[in-house]
Amino acid sequence: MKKNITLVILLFLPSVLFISCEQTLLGPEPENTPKNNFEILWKTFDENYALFPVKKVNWDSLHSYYGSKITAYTNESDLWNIMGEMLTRLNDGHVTLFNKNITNWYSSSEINRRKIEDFSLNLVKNKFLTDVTTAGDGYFTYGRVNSNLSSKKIGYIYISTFASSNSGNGSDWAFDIDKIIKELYDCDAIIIDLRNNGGGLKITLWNIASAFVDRDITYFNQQMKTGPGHNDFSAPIPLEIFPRSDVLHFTKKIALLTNRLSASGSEHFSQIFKNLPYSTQIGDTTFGCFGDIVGTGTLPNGWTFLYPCRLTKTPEGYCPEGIGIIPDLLVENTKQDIDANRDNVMERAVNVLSK
Amino acid sequence: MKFKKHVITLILFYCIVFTGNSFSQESGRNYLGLSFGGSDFHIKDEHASPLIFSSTGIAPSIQYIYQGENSRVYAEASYYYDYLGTSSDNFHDINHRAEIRCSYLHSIADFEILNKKINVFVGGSIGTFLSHSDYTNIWVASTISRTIESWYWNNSFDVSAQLEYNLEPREFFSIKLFIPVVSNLSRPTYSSSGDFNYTDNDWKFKMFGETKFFPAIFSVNTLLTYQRPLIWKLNLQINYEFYYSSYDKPRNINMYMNNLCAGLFFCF
Repeated sequence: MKKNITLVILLFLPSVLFISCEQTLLGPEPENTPKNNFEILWKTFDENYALFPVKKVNWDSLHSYYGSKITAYTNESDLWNIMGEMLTRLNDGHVTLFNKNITNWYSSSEINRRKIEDFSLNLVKNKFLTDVTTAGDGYFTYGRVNSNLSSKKIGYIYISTFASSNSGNGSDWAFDIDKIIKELYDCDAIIIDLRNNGGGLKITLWNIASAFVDRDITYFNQQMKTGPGHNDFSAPIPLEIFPRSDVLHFTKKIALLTNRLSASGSEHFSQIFKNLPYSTQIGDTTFGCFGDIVGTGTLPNGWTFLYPCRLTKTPEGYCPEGIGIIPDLLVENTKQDIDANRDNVMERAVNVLSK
Repeated sequence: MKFKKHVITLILFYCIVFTGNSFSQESGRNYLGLSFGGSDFHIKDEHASPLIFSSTGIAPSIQYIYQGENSRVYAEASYYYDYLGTSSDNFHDINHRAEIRCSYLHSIADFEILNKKINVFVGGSIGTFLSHSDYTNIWVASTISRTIESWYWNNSFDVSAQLEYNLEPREFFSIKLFIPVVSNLSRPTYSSSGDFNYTDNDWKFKMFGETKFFPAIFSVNTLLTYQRPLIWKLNLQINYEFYYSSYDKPRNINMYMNNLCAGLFFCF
C-alpha cells in the first residue's frame, strides 16, 4: 500500500514541477509597461503592415522619435497620445488603435478627423425621390427620381454599408438587390449612391456589384505579406467579379455617387464600376484606403489595434492608397449646400442620366 | 492531394502492422477504458499575440492497451477544451485540442528491482495532435470579437520508449516517451490574411503543411501511468501526461500541457 502511495505521488510530482516553469518553457511574457506596449505596437507594424511601400514613411525614425518620449513614468493618457500620433503618420483609414473597453479609439486617417457633412439621405429622399422604401435589413434605401425632375425614368439605390447584417444573416441582405433591380428594371438609368458608405465585407459588395456587371472583371490585384521585411510580398492575387448567374442584371446607364467618406469596400465597388462603360462616377474622390484589414494586434495593457495585411494595386500596378478613386465628374457639396437643401451631386447625376 | 493519399496509405499500413502484431501474440491482456480529468494548458503563439494564454480545462480520453508477452500496443484518442485567459482580462483564447495515437512497442530488455520485473520497450507510433485557437477580445457593448484564428496541427511518426514496472497481475506502472522523428505540421501563413477566405469571411485551417525531421519540428510527450485492479474485471488507472512542442513558423509557438486523469478500464 505504501508503495502504491509512493507511485501516485511520483505521478503528481512532475505536474507540479512543470506548472512552475512556464517562463522557461514558453519564453518570457512581455510585462505591461509603457515601453513594452509601444515596442510591441511598433514591431507588429514593422513586420506585418502591408502598405509601407506606398506610405513613404521612415518607420525606424518614427520609432526613435516617439520611442524617446516614453519612460517608465509615462501615464496611460500620454502613452495613448504618443502611440496614436505615431500611427497618424501612416494616414491609413484601416489603422485604428482601441482602448481596453473600446470606449475610445484613435484613427490614423486624417479624413476621419475631418468634419464632413456634405450628404443627407433625408434631403435626397425629400427633394428627389418618390416611392421610397428600404430593403436588405434597412441597408438599402431605394425609390424613383421624381418624374418632374427628368424626362427619363431614373431609379435610385442608396447603400449605407457593405457590412455584415446585425440580424445575424451575414451578407445575405445584399441579395435583396435582385428584388430591387426587378422593381426598377423598367428604368432607363439607375443612380447608385455610396456616399458616407464606410465599406464592409468583400462578399457583400460582390453580391451587389455582380448584379450590375456584364463581364468578368479583374479590378484589383492584392499581395500579402510573406515575411517581416517591408517588401516581403506574395505574388499578386487577383480580385475578380463575375456577373451572377440566374439573376436580372441592370446594365443600362448608371451614375455612381461617391464622397470622401465612401471608403474601403465602397472604393472596391467604385473600382469595379470604373470598368463598366455604362457607368459614370460623380461626386468627390473616395476615401483612399485600400489595404485589407485582417490583422488585429493585442497589447499587454489590453489595447487592440487594426492594421491592413494586403497591398492593393490596379491590374496596371497603380496603388490608389491615400488618394482614392477619382470621379469622372468632380462635383462637391458643402455643409452650406446641404443646409440650403441643395445636393449638387444628385442634381448633376439626374442631369447626366437625363441626356 | 497526392500527398494526402500517401499519408492515408501510411496510416493504414501501420494500423495493419500494429494490429497484426498484437493479435498474433498469445497470453496477452487487453485493456479498454475511459479516462477523465484536467488539462493545464499554456500557449504562447506569437502569430496571434505576444501574450501567454493559459487555463485548466477538461480532458476526456479513450484508450486501448494490449499487453502481449513481448509487445505493447496502444491506441488512444483525447480531446481537450479550454477557455484560456491571459494577463489582460479582455483577451481570451477558445482552445480545442485533440490527440490520436497508435503505438507499437517491442520488449528489448528486462531487469529486476525489488524482485519485480522492469521491462524496457522501444517502438514507433503514428499520431496527430491539433491545437486550434480562436483568439477573442471584448468588443463594443461587451460583445466578443474574434481577433485571429491560429492552429498547430502536427501529424507525426514518433519513436517511443517505455519502462514498465509490473507489480502484480493487472497492476503496473509505466513511463512512456514519444519523440517525433518526422512530422508534417500545418500552421497559418505569415500574413493573417493568407488563410482568410473572403467569400466565407472566415479563416480556413488546413490539416497538412511542411514535412520536417526532428528537431526542426520539436515536441515531446511523456506519459506516466499507474493501473491496478479495482473490482471484477475493472482496473483503475491514474495517468499523468506532459506534452511540450515548439516551432518557429510563421512565428514562434511554444505550448505545453499537463494532464492528470483517472479512468476505468475493462480487462479482457
